[in-house]
Amino acid sequence: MKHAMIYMTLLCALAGISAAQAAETLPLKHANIRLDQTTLRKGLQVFAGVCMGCHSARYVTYKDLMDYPEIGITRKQADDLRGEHPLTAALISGMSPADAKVSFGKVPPDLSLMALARRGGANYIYSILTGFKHDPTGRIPDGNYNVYFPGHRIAMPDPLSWLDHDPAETKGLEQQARDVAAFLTFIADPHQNKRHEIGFWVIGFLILMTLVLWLLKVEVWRDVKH
Amino acid sequence: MLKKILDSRASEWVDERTHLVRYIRFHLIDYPTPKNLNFWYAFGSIALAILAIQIVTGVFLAMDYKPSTMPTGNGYSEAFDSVQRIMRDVGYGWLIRYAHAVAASFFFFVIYLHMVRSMYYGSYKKPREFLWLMGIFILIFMQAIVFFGYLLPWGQTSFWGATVITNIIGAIPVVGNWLLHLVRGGFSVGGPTLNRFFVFHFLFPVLLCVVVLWHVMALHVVHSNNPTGVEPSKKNTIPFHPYYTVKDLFGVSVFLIIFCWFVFYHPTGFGLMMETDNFNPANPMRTPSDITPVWYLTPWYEILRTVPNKLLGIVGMVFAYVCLFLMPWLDRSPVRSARYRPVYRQVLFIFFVAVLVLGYCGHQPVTPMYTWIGRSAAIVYFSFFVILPFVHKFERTKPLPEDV
Amino acid sequence: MEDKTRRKFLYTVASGMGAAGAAVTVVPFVRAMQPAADTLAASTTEFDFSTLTPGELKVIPWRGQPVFVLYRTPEMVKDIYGHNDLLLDPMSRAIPEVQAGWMKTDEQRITRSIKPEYLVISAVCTHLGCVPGFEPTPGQKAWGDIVPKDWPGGFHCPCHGSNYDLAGRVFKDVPAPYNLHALPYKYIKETTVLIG
Repeated sequence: MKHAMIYMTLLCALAGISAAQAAETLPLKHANIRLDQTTLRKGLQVFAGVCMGCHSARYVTYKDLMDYPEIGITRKQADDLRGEHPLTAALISGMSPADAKVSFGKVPPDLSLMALARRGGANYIYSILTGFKHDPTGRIPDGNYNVYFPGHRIAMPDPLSWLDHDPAETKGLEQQARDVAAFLTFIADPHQNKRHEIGFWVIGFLILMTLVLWLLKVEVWRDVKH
Repeated sequence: MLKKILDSRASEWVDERTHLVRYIRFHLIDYPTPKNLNFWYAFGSIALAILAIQIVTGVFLAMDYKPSTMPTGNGYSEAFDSVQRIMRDVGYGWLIRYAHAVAASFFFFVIYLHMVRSMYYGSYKKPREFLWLMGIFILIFMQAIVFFGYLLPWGQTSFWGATVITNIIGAIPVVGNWLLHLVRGGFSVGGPTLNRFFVFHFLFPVLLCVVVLWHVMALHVVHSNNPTGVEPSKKNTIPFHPYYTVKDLFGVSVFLIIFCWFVFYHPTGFGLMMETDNFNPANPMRTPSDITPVWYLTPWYEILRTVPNKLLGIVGMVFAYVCLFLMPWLDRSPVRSARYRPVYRQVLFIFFVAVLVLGYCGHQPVTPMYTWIGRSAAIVYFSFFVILPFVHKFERTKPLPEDV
Repeated sequence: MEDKTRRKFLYTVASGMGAAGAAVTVVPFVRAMQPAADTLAASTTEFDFSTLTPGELKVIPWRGQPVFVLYRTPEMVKDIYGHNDLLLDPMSRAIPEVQAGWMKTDEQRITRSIKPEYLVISAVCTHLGCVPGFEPTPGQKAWGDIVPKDWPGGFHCPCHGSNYDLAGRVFKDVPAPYNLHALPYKYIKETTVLIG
C-alpha cells in the first residue's frame, strides 16, 4: 500500500518536528543509577544530611527506612535520625514552609515523588544538582543559575556547592548527586524492584499460557475448513 | 467436562426454573458465528476482559481511597495522600493501582481498534445500525467514566483537566453558568466536585455493564458481520463454543502479555498513561504550562481547540460525535466490506490518519504550526462524513464472493 | 479414527494453567484487604518502665485497647503467691488467650510476666470488657467489703464485681470466667518493652 508509506512518513515527520522543538532545552545528563543497598544508603545520607535541611519526604517514615529491604537501616540508625520524633513519623524537614518561603522565595517542594513528577526523573535530578554555573548574562545571581532548570532561575541555592568546586572534588560530588538521585527514585516508587521481579514470572507464565492456548486453538480449528 | 455440567440433573433443575442453561446454550455455545472472523474480531471480548479488570481493581482501590480535598499540609490533600497510602502501605496496592491506570488506556486503545474493524468491514450498516449506535454511546459513556476517574488522585492534571473540560459547560448560552455550578457543586472544581465525581465514577461502570449487555444482545439478534460483508450460509457458520471461546481466550491471553508488560515494567506508559505532572498535588493557583488531556481524549480536544470561537469549538466537538452516530445513514453503498470498495478504503484510511494527527496535535502545546496542522486534520475529519454519501457513486466495487 | 487425546491433553493443560493463574491472581487482592503496612506499624507500642515509680500503675493504649503496665514492688511480687485456692486458673491454662509464647518457666506463668517486677497485661475484664480498678493493698481496711477479707491485693472490676490478683489471675466465684489476657511482648532494652 503505497498510500500507507506516504502517510506513515507524514506522521514520522510530525514526530520529528516536535522532537526538534523539544530539543530547545539542553539534553539531560545520564545518572546511570542502580537501586542497590550501598547506593541507596549513601543516597539516604545525602538526603538526611543536605536535602532535609529544607525539603521533606512526607510519604516516607523512619520505620520505612528500616523496613524497606533495599535500605534496611538498623533501629539504632533510625533512632539517631529521628531524634525526638516517633519512629512512625514521616521525614519532615526542620525548616518550616513559612521560613523557607521568606529565605528562598518559594516553599521547597516535597521530594517523595520528585523522581516521577519531573520529566527525566533521576537524570533530571542528577543534572540539576550538577548544573549550577555562572550566568553568562550576569542577571541571575550565583547559586541560582542552573543550565538544566527551565528558565534557568532556580530558587534552590546549589545544595552540593557545585559552583566553582575544586576539580579534585568533582567525582565525589557527582557520586553524591548520583546517590541522592537514586534514593529519590527509590522512594518515589519503593516497590519497583519487587514489581520487576514479579513481572518476570507473570509474563513468563502468560507467554507459556498463550502458547498452550494457541496450540489448543489450532487443534480445535482443525475441524473447520478455513 | 462442560457437557457433563450442562447435562447434569442440577443444571436441569436450574433450567426448569430460570431458563439459564438454555440461554447459555443458545448465546454462548450453539450461537452460530461466521467461520472466517480474523483477529480484528478479537477486540470485543478483550474489551470485556478489560471491563472486568477495571471493576475488580476499582472496587479494591475504593476500599482505601478517600474522596476528600481536606488539606494535609504543603499543598497535599487526603485524596492525594490516600492514593500514596495505596501505593506504599496497602498490600499490593501498587499493583492494583498501576493495573487500573494502565487498563484505562488499554480500554480505549482496544475500543478504537474495535471501531476500526466496524468501519472497515461495514459492521455499522443495515441491519446493524442499532448495534453501532449502542457502540458510540458506550464510547461516550467510557469517556465520561474516565473523566470522572481522572479527577480522583487530585493531582495537577486531575484538577486542571476537570477545570478546563467542565468550563465547556459554561459556554452553553443562557443556562451555561447555572449548569456549570450545578455540575461542580461550587464556583470552581473543589471538594464537592471530587466527592460527586467519585460517586459517578463508581456508579457509571455498573450502568455501563447494562449497556454492554444490551450491545451484545443486539448483536445476537443480527449476528456478527464478517470480513467479506456477505451474510454466510448456514454451512459456513460454526458454533461459538469451542471455536470462538478458545480463539477469544487466546486473544485475551496475548492482550494480557502486552498489558502486564506495561503494568510491571512501564506503568506510567512513558508519561502517556500516567502523566508526569499528576504526581504533583493540585494547585488551583497555578496552571501547568502545557495542559492537555490524556491521549485517548486528545482527538476530540483538538477539534475543540482548533475552532477559534469558544461556543463553536464546543459545537464542533459535539458534531464530531454526531457524525459518528450518523454513519449508517451517511454511507449509501450496498456493499459492506471495504475489501471490495477501493475508493471507500482509501477515504477511510485518510480519515484514520486525520484522527491520529488530531490526537497527536491535541497533546502538543498551542503553536501556530500545530494549530494549522490541527485545523487541516479537523477539516479532513469532517470532510470524510460530507463525502461519504457520495463515495458509492464514484466507486466500482470489486465483485463480491458468493459466500463467506 | 479421530484421535482426541491431543485435544483433551491441551484442554487439560490450558484449564490447569488457567486455574493456577486465577488462584495466584487472587493473592494480591486478599493481601490488599489485610491490614496495611501503616496499620501494622501502629500495631506495636513501646513502653519504658523506667518512667514508672515502684508500685505505680499506668493504663496505655495498644491496638486501640487498654493495657495495664505495672511496676510491682518486691512486696507486691510476694503477694502473688499463697492464695492459689482462691483462684480459678492459677497456672493460666484455661484458654490460649491467657497464655503467651514468652511464658517459658513456671515462675513466669505465675507472675504472668517475663521479668517479675514489670507486668504487662490486658486491662479488659474478661466478663464484659470494663477496665478493672487498681487495689494493690492487701486486706479490707483500704477498700471496704467490695473485696474479700483475705484480699491479697490486685484488681477489682467496678461493673460487676470481678476480682483479679496482682498477676491478673481471676478469683473463683466472680462473673469473669478467665484471667486477664496475656499479651505478646518482648524486651528491646533493659526496661523498655515492645508490645505486639
